[in-house]
Amino acid sequence: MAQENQDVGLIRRYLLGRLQEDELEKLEERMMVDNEFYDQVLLAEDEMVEAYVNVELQESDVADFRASFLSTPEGKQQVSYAQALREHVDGISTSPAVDDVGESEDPGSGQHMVEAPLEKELVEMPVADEPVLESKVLRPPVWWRRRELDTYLKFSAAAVIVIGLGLGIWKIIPQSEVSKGLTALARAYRDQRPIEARISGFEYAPASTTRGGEPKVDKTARNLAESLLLDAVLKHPNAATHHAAGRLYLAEKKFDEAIEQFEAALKTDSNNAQLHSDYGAALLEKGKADRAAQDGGSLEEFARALEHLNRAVELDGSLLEALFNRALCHQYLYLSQQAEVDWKTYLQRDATSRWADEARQNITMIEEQRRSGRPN
Amino acid sequence: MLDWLDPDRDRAAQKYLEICSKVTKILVRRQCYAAEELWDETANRACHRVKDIAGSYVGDPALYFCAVARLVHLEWIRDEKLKRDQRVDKPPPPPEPDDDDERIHECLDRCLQKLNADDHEMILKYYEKETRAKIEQRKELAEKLEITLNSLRMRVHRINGLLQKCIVACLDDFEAETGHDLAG
Repeated sequence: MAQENQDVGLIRRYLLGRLQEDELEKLEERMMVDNEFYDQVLLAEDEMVEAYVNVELQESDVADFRASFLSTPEGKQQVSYAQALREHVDGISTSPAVDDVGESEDPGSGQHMVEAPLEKELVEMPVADEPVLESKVLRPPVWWRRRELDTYLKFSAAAVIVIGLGLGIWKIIPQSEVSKGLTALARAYRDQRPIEARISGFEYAPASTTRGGEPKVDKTARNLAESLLLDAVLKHPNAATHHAAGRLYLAEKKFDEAIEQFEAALKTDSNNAQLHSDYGAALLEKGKADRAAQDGGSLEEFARALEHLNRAVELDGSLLEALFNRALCHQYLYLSQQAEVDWKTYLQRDATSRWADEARQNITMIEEQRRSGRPN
Repeated sequence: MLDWLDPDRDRAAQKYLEICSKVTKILVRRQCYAAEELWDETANRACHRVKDIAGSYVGDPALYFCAVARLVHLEWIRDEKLKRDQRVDKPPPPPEPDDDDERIHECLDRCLQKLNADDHEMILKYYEKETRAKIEQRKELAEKLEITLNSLRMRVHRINGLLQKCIVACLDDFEAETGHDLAG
């Protein structure tokens, strides 16, 4: 019990930003390795936010609470959410926290009461005699933007993916799961790109030089990407999730699966230039693989790839991935003149990146082949 | 890296997500407003170093991530300070819109409807009363569900997480439909 009370006090000081650096580091390390303690911190945080919204927080704690919670988008969101829920439960509009603080006094004692966090039994703690009036700070809707508040939601991401499904309460997989999956995918192949063509959203990395071999890949990131993207497309099949799953398969050189996903995405998003570019890349790479295996179908695949890459450029003439992939496609179709034009067009839009260096190398190669009189 | 976290692939993935959540929370509590970006950097650095250290590292790998995150955070503080010092004329922050509160409530209503009936009832009952009555209410709720008070709080915590996520998506949908930027 003594240890529990110590923890309650420690966590309270932590949440109010009152720990010294050495205490803070010890507590953080405990959070990292002790899940029970970590849960205690989460619950104490919830209860402190609730107490603040209900104007039940001790006055002496309010300034530190604000400094600690209202200085980050995540903290502001927590407060804003708690206020909205409070108002909803109260029948909206006249939360005692905002409009009628006097009524939150306990009629028996004449004091405001607050729920003490984390104790086995909820006990009452006296708080300030003077209520803290705060009406505007509790309503900061700007903090509800996705990018800014996603951090808090990572709790849910972990809890939701791993535990929430078991509770049967998880019904929504938002777009952020897809973007996290794509970020992980791009990270997986950041040292070496898996295919010669460009996949949208991937930064530059040199192409794998070993034919058919496994490129350098961060398998952890790829596994994470697989988990997030395939889960998303399974539960929420739509153009965005199909497109994302297609990119995953394309990176994994599973061309048929990638093509299937891109086709599904195109059914409802036929004017997406990136989607056409990625689809074209999948067909191009499949054509290359078939050619290497002397499967005989490569020309048809290259031709289909070109159709989609042309469509991508038509939809967005500045899309670098599409311009790059179309130049490659022309090259594999032995259309060296068009390929050269494409590479030069590419360089007009991107003259400085390492992709541009590859474009220049390809132009040099085409010129050499032309001089030597042999096809590429 | 998964192997380093746990030989079992599923448990390793779960552990990775837990580490991500915890490190992000720690950074937020250190008043870092770019916690997600810093987690990305932390994960990148840890992933790159893991093959060098995995063989000799002693202890819970989560602590390694924590240590890397601290370093990344210190660098971030230094960079932020540098940026502030270099900024001669700081532009005033944009005014906050005052007409979005209603939308949060609308979204909350919608999201509450998406909960199953039991969770919906639980969350409303949990927050229903004030002070002493609330304490009694929660005890009764826990008894009715045959769980401890802490388990009840944890369930409510998770439902709150889901609701907040749902509200974010709802507000984003609104923003996409109307072209209205909630940040002004």
